Amino acid sequence: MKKYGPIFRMLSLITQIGITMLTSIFFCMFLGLWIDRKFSTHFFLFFLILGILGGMKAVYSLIERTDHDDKEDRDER
Amino acid sequence: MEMTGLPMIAAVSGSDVDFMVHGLIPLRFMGGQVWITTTHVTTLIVMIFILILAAAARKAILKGSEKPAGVQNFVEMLVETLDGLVQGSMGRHWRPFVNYIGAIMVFIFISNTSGLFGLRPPTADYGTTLALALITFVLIQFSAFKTKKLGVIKELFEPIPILFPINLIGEFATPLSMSLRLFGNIMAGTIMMALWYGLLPVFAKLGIPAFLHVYFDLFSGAIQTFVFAMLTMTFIADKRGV
Repeated sequence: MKKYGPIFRMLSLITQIGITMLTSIFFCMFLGLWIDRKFSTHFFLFFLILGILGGMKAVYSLIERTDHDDKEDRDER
Repeated sequence: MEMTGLPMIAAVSGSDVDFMVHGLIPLRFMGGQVWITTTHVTTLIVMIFILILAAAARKAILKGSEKPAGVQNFVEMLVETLDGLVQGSMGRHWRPFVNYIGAIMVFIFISNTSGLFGLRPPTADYGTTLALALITFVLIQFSAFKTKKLGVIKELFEPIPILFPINLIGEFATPLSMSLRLFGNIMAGTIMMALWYGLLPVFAKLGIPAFLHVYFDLFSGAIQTFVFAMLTMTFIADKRGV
């Protein structure tokens, strides 16, 4: 288990990337739709772009984490 | 009303296919009507099962001897594996979190595998998984506040203040994606099993569902439990920055 620990950790982080991107885009999209319907405004596109950028940020920090783990692993060896 | 998607599948198959959450008992609560659903009942069953397991483990440990055998051996092995896992991924400050990680692992694993016993898994209801992810989210932020104080808020405005909304969305994407991932996987297994049992002729229900149960309930359930715990540990350790 100890030997495979980093591999499983890496796998769980990598498989999280896709759903993180999707979640933030859809979350912001529905938020924009809700605000548009509630206050009759036109913020949908703004929120969609915000969601895409937020997703990029979240995915970037996930990748940063896997890279960080990898470096630690190499240092230990 | 024209039906599409899941309700349509359920409708064409007659009443055999059943994977939805059912309201069992209506209750009046703060002026509105709420329902005791199948999720509440199965969660209660899972909780009682965990309590029985805990009582049995305690009994075995109290009666334990120098040379561990049987149940005592198994319980000690579980606890040592969990300690090793948490220590391996959280580093020096792993102690305070091991109880929480152990608790969610036991709860999620038994919930996911409850499909084997004919129950509808509580984790196939988004209410359960969102609650679990929100607890994790609060724990992540709380432990970060404890170590970094106001640095957590400052981090949201880095590298430039205008990126604040993007960073905020990134923070909220964490619990949402974790809960959706667990829910999606278990719900998919539940739907597949319901379709298999509901739509196919009798001879297809002999033997083959055993393999499907092994995959959807045991394998997928164990993997998702592990991933949820792993992500919780990684996010807490990363946010604390120690």
